[in-house]
Amino acid sequence: MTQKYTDQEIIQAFRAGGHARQKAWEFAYKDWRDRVVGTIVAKNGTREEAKEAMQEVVMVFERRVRQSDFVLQHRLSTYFITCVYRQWLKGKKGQKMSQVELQDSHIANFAESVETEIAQSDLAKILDESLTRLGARCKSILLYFMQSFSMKEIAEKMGFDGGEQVAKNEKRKCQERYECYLQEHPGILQRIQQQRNG
Amino acid sequence: MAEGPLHDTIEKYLLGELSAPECRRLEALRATDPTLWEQVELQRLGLTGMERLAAADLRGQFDLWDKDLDEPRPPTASPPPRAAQNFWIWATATLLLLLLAGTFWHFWQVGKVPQSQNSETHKIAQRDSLISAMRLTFELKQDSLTALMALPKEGKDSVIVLEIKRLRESLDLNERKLRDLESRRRAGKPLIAMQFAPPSNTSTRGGEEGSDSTLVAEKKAFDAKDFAESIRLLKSIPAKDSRQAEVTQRLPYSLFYAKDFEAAIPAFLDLLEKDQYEEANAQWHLLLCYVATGQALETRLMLHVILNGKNPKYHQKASDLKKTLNIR
Repeated sequence: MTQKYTDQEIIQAFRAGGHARQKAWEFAYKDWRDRVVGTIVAKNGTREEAKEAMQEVVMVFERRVRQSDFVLQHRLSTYFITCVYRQWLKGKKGQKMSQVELQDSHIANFAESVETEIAQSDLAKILDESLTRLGARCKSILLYFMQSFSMKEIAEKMGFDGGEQVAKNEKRKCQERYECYLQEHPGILQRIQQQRNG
Repeated sequence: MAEGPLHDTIEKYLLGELSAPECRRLEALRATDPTLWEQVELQRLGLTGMERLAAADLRGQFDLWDKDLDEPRPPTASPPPRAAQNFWIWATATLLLLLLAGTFWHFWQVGKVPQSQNSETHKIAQRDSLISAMRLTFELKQDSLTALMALPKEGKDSVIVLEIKRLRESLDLNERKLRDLESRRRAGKPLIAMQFAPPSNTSTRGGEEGSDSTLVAEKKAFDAKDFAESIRLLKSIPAKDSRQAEVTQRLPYSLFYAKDFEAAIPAFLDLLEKDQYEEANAQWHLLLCYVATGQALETRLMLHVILNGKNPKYHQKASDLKKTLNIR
């Protein structure tokens, strides 16, 4: 039986990270899935497209919700559904939500900020390719870090004898190696410089 | 590549974990230092890539949870039968206790009404207490009947068979009396509710056009004021179907305009829970359902909610309704 959560409890669990986050996502997904899929199918989308859009949105959504300046003014599911719907529209037709659909500016601003942080498809390809160059060990450490497990928990999971500090060093090494791989890609530095000049 | 502490600071900045003054300081430095600017952007890309890794992992979890949601669950095991030898002792004791409680409650309700109040209020209180007492007896008899029916067939002698028959008859009689009393208790005002209802066109309710044939046919039926057909079509959509989102939007209005107010109440409550954009319309129709079914307390509460709500759409109508209902 999945434990029931209030919106505030979900946010707290996201902030706590690790297993608490995992459990909260299980509840949230099971509770929200039909509404997310229903919204997109009602617009002639497919269930698979809805899940693709969800995958694109989840992590940025979670990060934004975890930030201390996030103020919950509506149901948390409404934020999520709006973000996913917006991402789906963008991916499907390059469209934006109409003014009629964007009735609440607070939610609209939130969804817009999530959308701008989601990697564009060409960049996503480079990011994923560089990830495949990392070994399984590094990928596991970085994954646990992104799932907000503490350094102590990561050390336990990875079996590091030196504990927290070793986990921290290993994580940084993996991260730096990943950044090196990214830098080696000709398009990346050019993109960064373009952004700076733009 | 940034040194350890700087790398950590940039990471905290990107994850939104730096304090506001620290953020401003880093942003000021970044604006003047191109190397720092590049490092921040590189780490930002790194984190985006790592987020994609975590998102792919979460997607794997979603697929697992989908199985939980979509696979039919095995039926739960029924509770073990009660020990037959203790049944009559417990049944008699419960019967006596409940009858005593019911009688006490009945006289307490009657006694609570002050002599000075008018006879109408007195009658209502008496009726309410009678309903409660009768409901207790009804539930008690239903329990006894269920217990008797649960006994193994070979153990049922002629006395028990007669007792079952007697209880069934008594239950039927009590149920009829209870329904009659309950219908008299609620003085609904469906005419006033319909007088204040917006016209029944599809622009009143939420939902999307779409191209699904059932939903298109339902819209036509609703526009043609064939609400029974509209309800039939909406109810034909299976529970797990993704079109349920549309059913949530449409069904309450179809039930309302079909004047099935009792059924419309839970449907509007569900809509209110699931779609905040429909709040104003759903609240107004819910209020009218309460008026139509004579639920005085709920009517007052919903009037209060609407009149104190941010959306002014139904403020005037709510004030008018309040005057019509003579609510102070």
